[in-house]
Amino acid sequence: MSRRTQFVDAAVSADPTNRVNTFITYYTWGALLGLARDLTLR
Amino acid sequence: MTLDDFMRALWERHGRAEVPYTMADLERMLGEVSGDADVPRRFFERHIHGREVPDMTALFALAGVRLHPADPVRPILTHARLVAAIGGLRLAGGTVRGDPLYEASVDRDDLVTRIAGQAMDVAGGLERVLDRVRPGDTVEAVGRSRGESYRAWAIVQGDPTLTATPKELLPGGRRPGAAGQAFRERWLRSRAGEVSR
Repeated sequence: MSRRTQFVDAAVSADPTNRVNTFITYYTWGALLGLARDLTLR
Repeated sequence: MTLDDFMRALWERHGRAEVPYTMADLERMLGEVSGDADVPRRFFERHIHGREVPDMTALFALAGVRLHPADPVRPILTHARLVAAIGGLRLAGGTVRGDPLYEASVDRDDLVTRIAGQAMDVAGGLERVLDRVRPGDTVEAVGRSRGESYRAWAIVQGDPTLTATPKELLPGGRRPGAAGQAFRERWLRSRAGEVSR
């Protein structure tokens, strides 16, 4: 994931990427995992 | 036992105490707090180190909540961002795998000039097409990509956007049983009064 930081983490990059198909932020993924973990524990 | 209990335990051991931790520590601690080392191990393996999407349909069902497409009869041709351009609609962003235009090999920066015979350089052109097609229909898209003209065929999709609904609110849906009701109650009730300062 760290190799993608220049494309996703507010660094400067003008290069086109296929990001819509290759990347999901840990905000979205983490929220889903948190919910899944919570529902599994109950 | 909830995720909240885990986060509180984590705060006591690592947050308040300012003790650094690794992924392995989190996994071990989840095992300790939940009293079961096996389940956390599988969860980390599949969803944290792995990329498996949890089965949310089954998880929501525990609380008597159905995860389902919000409007599956609504026709969709793409979720990509389209901007009006000279001669048609330009794809301002990439298309996502599974998206009808992606499957038709239409992608970012392409200029779509016509769909199903309808010109795309007039206001509401795309909406006019969507008004008269149904999911499953095949439509012809005419466009230009890097200076080359092309024709592509896209299969109209039903809107895949999901929503979660208490199952008793759906047609023919019954209220959850006692276990489901209790689960939902514990999950959604306010705990604001229990916060210790």
